[in-house]
Amino acid sequence: MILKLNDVTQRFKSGQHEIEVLSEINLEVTSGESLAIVGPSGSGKTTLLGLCAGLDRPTLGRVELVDKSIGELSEDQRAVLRRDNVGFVFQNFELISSLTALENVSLPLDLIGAKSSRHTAMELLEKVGLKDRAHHYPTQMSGGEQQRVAIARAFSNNPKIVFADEPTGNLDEETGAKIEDILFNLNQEKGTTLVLVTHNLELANKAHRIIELKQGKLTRDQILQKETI
Amino acid sequence: MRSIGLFKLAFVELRHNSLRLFVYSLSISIGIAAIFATGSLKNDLITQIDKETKELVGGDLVVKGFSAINDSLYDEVLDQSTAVAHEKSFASMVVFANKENTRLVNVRAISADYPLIGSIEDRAGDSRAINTQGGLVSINESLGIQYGLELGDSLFIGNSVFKVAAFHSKAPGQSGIAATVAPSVFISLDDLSGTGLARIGSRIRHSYYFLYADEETTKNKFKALEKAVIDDGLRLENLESGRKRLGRSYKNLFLFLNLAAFIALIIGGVGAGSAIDLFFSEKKKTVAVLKCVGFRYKEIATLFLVQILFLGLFGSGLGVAIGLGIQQALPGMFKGVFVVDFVQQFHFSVFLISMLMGVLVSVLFGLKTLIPLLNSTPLMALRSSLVNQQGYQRINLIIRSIQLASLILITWYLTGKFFIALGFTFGLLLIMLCLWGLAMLLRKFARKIVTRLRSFELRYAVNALYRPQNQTVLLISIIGLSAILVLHLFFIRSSLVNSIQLLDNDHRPNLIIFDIDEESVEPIASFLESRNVSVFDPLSIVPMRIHRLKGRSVFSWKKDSTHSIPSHVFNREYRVTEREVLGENESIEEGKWKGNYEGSGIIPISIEENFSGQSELSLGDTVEFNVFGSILKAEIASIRKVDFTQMQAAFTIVFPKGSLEGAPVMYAVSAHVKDKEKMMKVQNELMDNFKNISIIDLDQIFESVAELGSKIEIAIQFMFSFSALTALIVLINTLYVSRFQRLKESAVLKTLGAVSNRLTRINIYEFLILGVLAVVAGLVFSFVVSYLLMTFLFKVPFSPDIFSAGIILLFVLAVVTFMGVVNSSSLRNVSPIRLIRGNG
Ligand SMILES: Nc1ncnc2c1ncn2[C@@H]1O[C@H](COP(=O)(O)OP(=O)(O)O)[C@@H](O)[C@H]1O
Ligand SMILES: [Mg+2]
Repeated sequence: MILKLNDVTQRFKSGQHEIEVLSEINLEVTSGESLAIVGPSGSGKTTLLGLCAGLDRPTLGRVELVDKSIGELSEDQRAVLRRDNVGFVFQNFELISSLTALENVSLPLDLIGAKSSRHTAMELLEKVGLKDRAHHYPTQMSGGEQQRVAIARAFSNNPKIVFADEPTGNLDEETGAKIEDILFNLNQEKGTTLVLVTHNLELANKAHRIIELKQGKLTRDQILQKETI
Repeated sequence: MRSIGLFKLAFVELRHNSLRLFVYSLSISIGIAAIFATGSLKNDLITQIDKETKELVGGDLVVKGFSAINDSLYDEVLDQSTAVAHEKSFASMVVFANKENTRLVNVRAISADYPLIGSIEDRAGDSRAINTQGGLVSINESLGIQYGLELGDSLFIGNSVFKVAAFHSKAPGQSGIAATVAPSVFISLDDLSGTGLARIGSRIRHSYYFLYADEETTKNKFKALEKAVIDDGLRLENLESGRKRLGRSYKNLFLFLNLAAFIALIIGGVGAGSAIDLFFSEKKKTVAVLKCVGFRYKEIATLFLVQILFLGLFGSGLGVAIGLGIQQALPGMFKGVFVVDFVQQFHFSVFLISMLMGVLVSVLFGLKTLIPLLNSTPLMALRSSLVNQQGYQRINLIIRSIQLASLILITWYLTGKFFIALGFTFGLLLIMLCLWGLAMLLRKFARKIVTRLRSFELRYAVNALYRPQNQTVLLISIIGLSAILVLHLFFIRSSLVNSIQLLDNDHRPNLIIFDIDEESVEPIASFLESRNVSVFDPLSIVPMRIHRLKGRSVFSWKKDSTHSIPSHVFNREYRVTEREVLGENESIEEGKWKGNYEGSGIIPISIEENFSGQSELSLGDTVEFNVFGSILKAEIASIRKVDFTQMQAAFTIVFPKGSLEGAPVMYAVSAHVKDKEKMMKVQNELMDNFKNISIIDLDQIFESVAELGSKIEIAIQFMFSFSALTALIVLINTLYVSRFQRLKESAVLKTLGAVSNRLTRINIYEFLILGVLAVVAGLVFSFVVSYLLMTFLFKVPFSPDIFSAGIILLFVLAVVTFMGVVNSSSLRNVSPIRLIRGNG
């Protein structure tokens, strides 16, 4: 079990009110699984993903990521946990503008202090089809290309689990489809666990399992392709 | 209706960014503060000089010169006058009664009616007593304090003994600088002859002051008498010429202050311009949205122009407020430098011009951003692509030209000289361009080096210098420029000071004895030698004035405005020497050195090269000199270069040996006395044994001048610190502008697993590298500039004060890094969860 949520409730203070964004979520994700989180806007998908990835701590309940309880770790300890085990793909790509594609991809490896970071990064860039753009800066690339670099970056530290928050949300349909393929293919190839938030049902259907959130509650948990697990 | 809405929108937008915009405006403010303060200082001085000119000149008409006025001319000036006063002044030694001290002073022998305008202000006693009773003096209070004198104490001037009747604090015609070197001592004109100092050959300055019933008479008198007075080798001064003369002595200072203020304004303008640039570049979407909503081009332009104008006005207003404060502080800093004590006033014209310049500069630097911005299409609201900067090259070129032209115009206004403005603007531009290039190069170099290093943080930090919002190159240039301004002042000063100290001390005279007559030269020299003092060859000195230059009379030159020979060339008294050989510190630039004169015909003389330029005299030109009434005709035979830094006697004009026979020659002997105590003793003994000589203690004068120099230096440093301050504000601006980007990057790094210490380190490294690059740029540049200046202008070996430079640079580095640390404290707490919500 790579990820385990036990009665997770998340509340935010907004002014004098306290709003409950997630209520008593229970979820278990096994290694190698791919999970799509769907639901209407504002239902708490991003919040859930943030908790799973160890970016935030739950108000109530327990989140276990790679057998560590997030709530009991300090911020820096969580950072190290992410560095060693987690990859992340953002909706807005979030590449570092002063670094080249290659440097962006090797960033997680550099954080670990890996020796052959450049070599590994180059291999990944080749896999996402951007070997010839290795020395280009983000501003010199299109949105689709930037997201491909971001995907390569998410996989570069050989993570156990990759999180992606609406990775195709800012791209046109055609480009989005290409990105999806790349994401799933890399995930399959590396045997990584993938947790992905999406509005796109087609994309969700590529996952092994779909969960749906509505007003902070799990309303559906469906396994699509049992046989590949 | 719509336009009111537009203004509302403009201000609502400004208010939302108020803190940030406040910092933007500050960049303008600093420059404007400098402009306002210096402008006010200048106007205060001019006002005060205007007010005190009458007192400083001393009369409606004044006849001045180094010889007495002849009786018939005197009668002519006297005719119709309502009051008259007479003064004879000269440098002389006083010996205090205890015989332990002597001091060079400016003896001013005055008639009972002096001064006609204003008064001698006494701190103690009554200065008027000197003309009602004999044998009394009024001395400058600083002299009294320095030597512990009291009323009734005695002192010797020449052969006479005087009793101190008063200590005066202020007297007409006493300037700050001259008063420190030779403080004034008033005696009665009737007591002068008794001192035995007023002999033929003494350098006595005669001044005759006259008052007339009305301006009309004064005017007519001036017109009628000018030629006769000048032909007589004297000078006729009225209020107007006096004002000119007084104003002129501050011209260079004003020029300098104006340029310093201008540099601050330019740096501020560049800073504010880049800030506006970044502020509005974030506004691209706003523009597009406004266009979608149906705003017209003109309206959007108005919207932003209103904002820019407001920022300019606000910044300038703040600048004026700061400038007012500085204006109050300046006189204290400049105390003792100016002739007049001045009163600070608010000058509306200076206020207006400062405000105007602030607004102009902010519009000028804002324009570049504004125009491409306006051309953004409504489509850009839908797509988050960048505004295409291409296709604006022509507009940019036009804007740049307008900026350049305005800069030249502003400098022209500030300096009053078109060519100086042109040279200065392009010089500054060239320096900025060089700095810009240097900054780019350094950044590249830093990346090359650092990417080879293992440290991830260092590599990341050096890459961050390429973040567009960081304005790295601009920052390095501006911090570098400030460093240059401060540093090369240090370098030049240390080189000059060192070059004087480098001279073998025994070869530098520190005691000069002058007004020695022929019979006393030998005895004085042997007296000094008997006291184990090293004596240098005696110099013969004949004072003379120019009578005719290139065949034309002084009067006709003075009336002619087509040449640029300054009037002091004609007014001044030249101390000329005759010599057979060139001095060690001299070399011939043009013509041939003639060391001997056969005794008939035109005398071949040698002039110093700077004087040659000033007087527009070249080889073969003739000059007639007036030597106590007799005329000597001379021709320029050679032009010499004199190395003034060697601290040896330097002469503007040298006559060949044998050409000054019969002229009233006086001699000067210079010597080097080793220690301070001996110096005093030797001076006293000289005064005891040889009457009528004057002594200058160079060490003492150096001290006074150095004190004054350090005052001026403080003022200069003060002005330059403005540009440094502006650089700091630009740095803060940049931090503001790049804050969003930094926060986002920190969040990304955190998400990827960077611990907070790492983020802190990255941030500190980034600023450390920035600081180092700026410091290196400043250092390299000021080295080059000072080296060139020292080698080619001052002609002194370049010996930079590395220690002070190091301190300054460390300070710069510390400030920049400190900013980084402060900045990073907020970054390390950024929550990565905010990033995935897309609001950084
Ligand atoms: N820090 C916060 N403070 C207050 N409310 C928050 C905070 N973060 C999220 N929310 C609220 O939680 C709800 C769920 O947000 P989110 O997880 O981003 O939804 P989704 O990603 O499904 O669109 C929203 O109503 C949002 O306003
Ligand atoms: Mg979301």
